Amino acid sequence: MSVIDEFREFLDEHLPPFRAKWGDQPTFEGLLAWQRTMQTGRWVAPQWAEEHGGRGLDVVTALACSEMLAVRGAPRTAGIFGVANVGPTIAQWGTPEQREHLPRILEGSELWCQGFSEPGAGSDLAGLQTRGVVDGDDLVVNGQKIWTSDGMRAHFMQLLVRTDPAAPKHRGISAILVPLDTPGIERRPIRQITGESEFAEVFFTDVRVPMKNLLGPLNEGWKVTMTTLGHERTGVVTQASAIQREVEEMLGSVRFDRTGRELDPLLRDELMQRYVEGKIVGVLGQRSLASIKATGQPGAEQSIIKLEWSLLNQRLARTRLALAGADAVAAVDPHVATGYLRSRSATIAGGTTEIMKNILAQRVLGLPA
Amino acid sequence: MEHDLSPEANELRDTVRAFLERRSPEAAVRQVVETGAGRDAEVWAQMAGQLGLQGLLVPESLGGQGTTFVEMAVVLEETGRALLPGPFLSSAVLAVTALNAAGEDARAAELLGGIAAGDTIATVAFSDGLLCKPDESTVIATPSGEGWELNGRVEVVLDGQAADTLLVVAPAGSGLGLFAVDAGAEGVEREPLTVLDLTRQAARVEFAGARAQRIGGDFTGGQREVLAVGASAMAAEAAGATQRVLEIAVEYAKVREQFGRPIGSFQAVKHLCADIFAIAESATAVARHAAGAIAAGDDGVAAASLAKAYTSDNCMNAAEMAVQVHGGIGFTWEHPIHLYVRRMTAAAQYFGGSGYHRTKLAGLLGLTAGSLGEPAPAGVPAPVS
Repeated sequence: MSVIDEFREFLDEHLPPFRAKWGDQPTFEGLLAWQRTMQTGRWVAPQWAEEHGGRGLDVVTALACSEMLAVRGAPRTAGIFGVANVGPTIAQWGTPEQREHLPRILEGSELWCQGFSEPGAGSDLAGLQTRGVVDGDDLVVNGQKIWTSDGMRAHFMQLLVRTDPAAPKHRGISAILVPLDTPGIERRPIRQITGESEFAEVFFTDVRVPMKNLLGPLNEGWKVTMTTLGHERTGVVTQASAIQREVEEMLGSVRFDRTGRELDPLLRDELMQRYVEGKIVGVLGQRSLASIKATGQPGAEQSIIKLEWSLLNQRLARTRLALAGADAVAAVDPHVATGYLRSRSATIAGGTTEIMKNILAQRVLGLPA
Repeated sequence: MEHDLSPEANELRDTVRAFLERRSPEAAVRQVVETGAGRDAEVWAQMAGQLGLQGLLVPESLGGQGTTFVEMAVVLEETGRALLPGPFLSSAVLAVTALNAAGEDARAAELLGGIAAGDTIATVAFSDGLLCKPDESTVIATPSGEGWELNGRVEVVLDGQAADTLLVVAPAGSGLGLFAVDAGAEGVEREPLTVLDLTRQAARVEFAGARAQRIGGDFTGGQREVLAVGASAMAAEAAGATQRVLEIAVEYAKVREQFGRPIGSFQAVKHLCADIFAIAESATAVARHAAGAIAAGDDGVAAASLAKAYTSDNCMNAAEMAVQVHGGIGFTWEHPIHLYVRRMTAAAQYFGGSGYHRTKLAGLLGLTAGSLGEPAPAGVPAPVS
């Protein structure tokens, strides 16, 4: 039996009872329960090495698994920042002791966040100022992080601190693994424009972190972090097919044979623009997949998928508003309006559109800094 | 090596690019444009004789290469990139696809052989779908003696003045027929049009009792197929042209200095270049997707509409942004960028613009009442090989 068939059988067995218990919009507790179930079959990150709780699958097969999850509408991974970002970085740079976190990340017993952005270091992440001072066997941390996704519920943080203020800004940064129950750490939720709180501000006052928690060499934290960002690359293929599917579903919901009426021509054309954009992101994803199959790496087009995806994400939210009309702003179910507000972050989080275009122009097109 | 293309297609791309860079550089393109020749006869002969490009889609048994539209689309990316002037798309793509679609026919076989050899230049006069407006053709075919007789006018025939054979789609009985007409025959009047795209000629053609030979049977499905291939071909050319537009803009942004630094160091210029890059990559991806769908007979009509819906507007935008990157020099006749603006602007119109194809896709996807009860969108069959 192929891996894909095995996975299909696994989902056939476990998805229906999960849905029966948790419904279509599971709570975080439900998502965690799903992650635990998935990991009983080592499916949370099947591309991870077996000793870390994965199956050692090649990237193409792993992408096929992600695709199947999306097609089946399976719940998202609860501890996504550990699984998608921190885990692969620990696998690459971690000591044997640090790698003991990996199976726990997959089981969902450890939730992780990333302490990157600061009030003074957003787009200019390398300008971060949170200090880490070596004091005997400890690193003493003082400073503040902001926009920490899952920061309120996480147990651990991959934290970037400045350990050499005299060095050029990319060279004086270190990455450390910090248990968030360490004395001196205070967390506050950030209330977003949606009214929800998915991020935290995290304050560090004389927080002592053992030097053995240093991830990678001292002052090499930038390089370590770039590895983390690199792991997000193949994810764009999944992201691309997901948004294409989302657009197709939106269109399916307004088919004439379903609604019995035609859309206003202007609205219909707006929808069709989203359709074309969604298909474009989809074919870019397929092109990336062809590169990944051949070389293990996505090609140049991957750098624009996030860009196009984020713009489409926003336009799609606007189109949903247009489709709902006044029903979106005075509604029993506020998800269209909330979705619209949330979409404003698409061109900010993970690198603003403007900064991504700068990076693309410099790294891919070779324009001068 | 581009991994979404086979090794053979990569090799073909390299060969054609090297050939066109050597034999049809900008200076040669301009010479063809300025003399009004329409094409460089020697380049045309070498394309057929040495590279076999005109015969790519022609079955091997008739002297062609019998490849799929995927390989042809790779070549079209290159002819678009090089702004190759001449009737390549009309003869090697539109006419060949029409003749292949018409089925077994002695005259079709003869024409296909001639096209593959580069000796015959043919083009298609559509009954509709090139301009996507009412009355773009008023031609009617009526039986006459052993053959047929054509009367009426076609507003625009791509490369109509270069062709020696016109393949005319016209109502015949209850459907459409495909008719071969010698371009020099009595009753055929060709009026060259003033075209925006200096590298692609077009003519208005008037038929007054012109003698014609019918090829194959009902051509309703055939024309639908040729229109999809035409849209997809235009998208492939535009994608290749946009890749070159990107290179030209980026090269200039690196060397042109203002305020004591290269203009490419300014974020505003970087963003223009990044936007052109995004369009070039997207256009390439969607054009290849359409070519693959057509070759596989897998919903080629919808895939071609998708490609055209994207490239018509966006490749024009890319060319406009490239002019902006250049500033004043981009507004001069001497600079090549306007040749691309012209190419993209014309290509945006032929075989339907973005809005036309969005509406068409809306129908195919069942968003309009008219689409109810219609069969699922038919795939375009692969060329006979």
